[in-house]
Formats: sequence, structure tokens, C-alpha cells
Amino acid sequence: MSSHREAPTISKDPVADNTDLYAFVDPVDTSKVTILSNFIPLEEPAGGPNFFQFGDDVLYEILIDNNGDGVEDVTYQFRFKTTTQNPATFLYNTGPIGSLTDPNWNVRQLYSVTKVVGPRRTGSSTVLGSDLPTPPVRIGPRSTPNYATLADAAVSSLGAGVKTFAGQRGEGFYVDLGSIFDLGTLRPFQNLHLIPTPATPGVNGTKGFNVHTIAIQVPNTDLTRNGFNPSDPADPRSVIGVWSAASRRKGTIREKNARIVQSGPWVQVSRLGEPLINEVVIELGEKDLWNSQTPDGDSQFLDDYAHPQLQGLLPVLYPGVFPHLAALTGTGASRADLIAILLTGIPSGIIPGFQNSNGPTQADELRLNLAFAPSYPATDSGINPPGDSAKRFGLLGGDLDGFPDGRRVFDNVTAVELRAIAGATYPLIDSSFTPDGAAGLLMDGTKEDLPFISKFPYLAVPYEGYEHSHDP
Amino acid sequence: MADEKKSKISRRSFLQKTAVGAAAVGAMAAAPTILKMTENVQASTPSGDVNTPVMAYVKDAAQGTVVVMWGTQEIVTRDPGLVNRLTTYAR
Repeated sequence: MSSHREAPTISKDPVADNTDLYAFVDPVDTSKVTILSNFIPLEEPAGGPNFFQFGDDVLYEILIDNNGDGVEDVTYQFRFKTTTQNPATFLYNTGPIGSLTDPNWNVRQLYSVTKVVGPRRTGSSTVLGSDLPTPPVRIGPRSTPNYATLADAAVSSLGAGVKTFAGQRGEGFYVDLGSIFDLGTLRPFQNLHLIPTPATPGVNGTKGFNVHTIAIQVPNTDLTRNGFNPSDPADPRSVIGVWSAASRRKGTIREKNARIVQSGPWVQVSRLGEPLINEVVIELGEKDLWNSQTPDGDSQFLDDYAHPQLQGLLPVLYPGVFPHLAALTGTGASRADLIAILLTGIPSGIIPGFQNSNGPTQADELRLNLAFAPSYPATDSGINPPGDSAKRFGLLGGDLDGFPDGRRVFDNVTAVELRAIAGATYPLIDSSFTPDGAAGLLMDGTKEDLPFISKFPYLAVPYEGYEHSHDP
Repeated sequence: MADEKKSKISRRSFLQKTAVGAAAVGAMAAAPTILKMTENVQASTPSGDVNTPVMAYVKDAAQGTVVVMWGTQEIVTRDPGLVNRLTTYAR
């Protein structure tokens, strides 16, 4: 998946597992940027009586690098606090939940937002909001009727143009999970696989699952270098790098009476910049280390980005389909195109009228050029393009504001990265290279099942526990 | 071996020449040496707040290195005496 259960240690700690990160110029108010960071992979909507929630003992962070050095300049920190109205019952709710203050709602979670300018552990911090409400999870028609309205009420305005939301959402990342990890099968191309089966349409493996989303919308100038107003796409100051992380306290002691004592500094256990990197680019033996590191140290993983294992596997798994990729891989060439896309941003002069690099530091961040206006309208049809629409392919589809320039909720990042690794972007740095015909067709044939919504926080209203289904 | 011997001689000579040096070395042997301190401002825990849990673990018994944590802070210190007392309980 994008970054769901992507490393051995974090796969055993879902509350802190950062699954997806999105960053885009807000289509409703283009003077602002919206950042969404998801946690808790593959949430079963019916998972009561102790339904999913954020970790009270986890520090969640969204970090911004605005000068290209791989170090955070602005950080938003989120901390959660669970309150139980009546610990004498086993129930999450004792009747229908009609509002965020409904006495029937037993187990609630509040949160705080702190902005830190400078290093995240020692910089200048300001509490932007505290005791902010999260919505309940979506249980069913009796417990959580009118869920969309209920969740809307949990969008908090913190002043100075800042808006936040934290709570359950429908999984927006779509991927043919069952296929891709069955020896790299890509439906509907499985008839071309080394172990062929008849071609059938792709199946979205995340259908019917939820996630927990932390969403923030802030003025662009809150994030740029010295409050720079990003109007010129060619200006490096228009570009920000975004990443998110989860940290736990260094020391934990479990006492016999179920009391848990924690102490010590925060230690990062999960991070996410570009999608799918720690999933399929970083080697198994380095995945836990990658999660613990910060982007400014990502040159230590350069070889994984420059020579991804997948580029060697594709020609093996699909005999005769990728001869040009096989030849390229055989030369041992460093994939400078992937390094630019994933580690430094694409500099000026490569793609006419486009750049999203704010410096040469190799740092895995989701880079976003804030000067490119949204190319899709904030309407249901605009935010839910058809599955085969070129818009889903971001920059490869001609959208300068699409992945890998930031990431919109509907961007098909799996297809874009598959195509890039298969050689479709190598001509950016070597015009003599001709990609294989298949490289430009690669996709897994899926799209989201729940519609994205046309307003903040944009991700879909969650699946309900009472009525939902998984694939097909 | 020769280098080690030379080093010991030099050190002994130095200590004989300066009482200040001898006092300093004595202090170093008796008191813990702070090797590293990390801090986390986010929780704004006051330094030395005895109401928060204080945790410590022996990171390297051979080197006498102990990590002491409270609030969101930690100190990495070299305190062979403390390590010796702690490891006594573990034997």
C-alpha cells in the first residue's frame, strides 16, 4: 500500500503507522494549502466495542521544509486525549449520537494543535487550539445517523485562516493490494505475467476500510520562507517540502495494575513523504531505520532510489514486455530521474514551465509548488475524475499541480510511480532513451470506491460499521 | 604496549606537577559525567520536576553509561558507581 504496514516494526503499531500524506493548493481557497496525513491502516469499520482512535501516547506531526535543506522550518504537532463519560459501561455510546456534545456518546477524543517555528523539538512553539473535538467513528444508522453533518461539526477554525480536522475518514488510497503482492501481478495485465492467468479488471484492496485523518488548512504564506507570497512558479521560494511523522516516548514501563508509565524524549517511529517509498523502494533491512530518520539524512538511502529493485523485477515478471528497461537496468545506470522526482524535486529546465525543487539536498519530502493553481474545480465531478482520466496521472497527465507536485486526493500515485520506475520518466534526463510501450500503460486498474468530498477535509465520509463490504 | 606505558607515565607526571589537576581528576572519578542531554520543548516539562516519572537504564555497563529520563528530557551520563550499584541488584 502507500505506506500502510510498510516496515516490520511499525506494522505492529497501527496507531502510529502513517499511511498516506497529501498536500495541495486548496481548490476552494487558493491562498491556502491543505495537508492531510492518515494513520491506522486497514481500519475495519465494524471494529467495536473499542473502535479505532488516535493514540493518546503518540505525538503526530506535519512538518514543512521551506528552504530545501531537508530540515523542518514549521511543524504542526497534534496530541490527543481520550475522555470516558461513564467507565461503568462497556459501550462506546449508549444511544444515538446526534451532536459532538451528545450525552449518549461515551468515549470521546479531544486534541490540541501546536505550531513550532524552527526545529521541532527546540523551536518556538505556540498552541493554536486545545480541547478541539474529534467526531465519533461511523458506527451505523442507529448510533451515528446524519454522520456527514456530525463530522462537519468537528472542523475547527483556529483563527488566522487556520482550519483543522482530526477523525475517521474513508480510505482514499486505492490499490490492487491482493494482486501487487502476489509476485507483482498487475491486473488487468496478468495474462502477460511470468505465471499467467486470464486478464481481469483490477480490484481495490482497500475498499471498505477506513483510516484516521489529521487535516490542516493554512495560508500559503504561513509555510513559505519568510512569508513569501508564492506567485511565480519559477521561484524556488514557491516550493515547500512536506513530510509527516509519529513519535513515541523513549521509555515505557507496564505495571501489574495495567498502569503504563512513560518518560523521556519523543522518538520518531513513523514518517512519510513521497508515497510508496518505504513500501517498495527501501530495502527490508533498512525500513525501520528509514522510519526513524529525518529527510536531511536521506542521502544514506540514495542507492535504493537510484537503483530500485522493482525496475529489475518488471522485465523478469513480464517476459518480453520491458526490453528497453531491462537494457537500462543492465547498464547499472543511476536513475537520476527518480532521484529528482523523489529526493530533490524536479529542477527548472527539465519540463517546460515546471519546477518543484527548492534546493539540491536529497530529502524525501512531498514537494509542492504553491504557485501552480489547482487545475480541477472543487465540485464532486472535479474531485472525483473518471478512473481513466488523465488528471489522475498528475504531472504525467499534464497537470502541473498534480503528483509528484504535491499530491491530490485522487492522484493515482501507484500508476505514476510504476510508470516512472518502468522508465517512462527516464527521457527527462536522457533523451536518447525510448521507454517501452508498456511503461506508459502501467496501472493496476483501480479507483476509489467512496467519493471524495468537495470541501475540507476532502477525504470521503467513512464507511459505516453496520453496512459495508470489502472487495469486490 | 610502549604507547600505553608512555601514556601512563605522562599522566602520572602531569598529576604530580599540578594539585589542581589532581583535584579535578578526583572530582571526575566521584561525580557523574554528563555526556549528552537532549530536550524536547513540546511538553514543556520543568527541569527537575520530581512529580513526573524518572526512568533510568544502564546503556553500557562496561563504560558506566546511564540514561536518565524525565518529562521529555534525558541525560546520558557516565556514573560507574551508580552502574555498579544497579548491576549488583541484577546479579
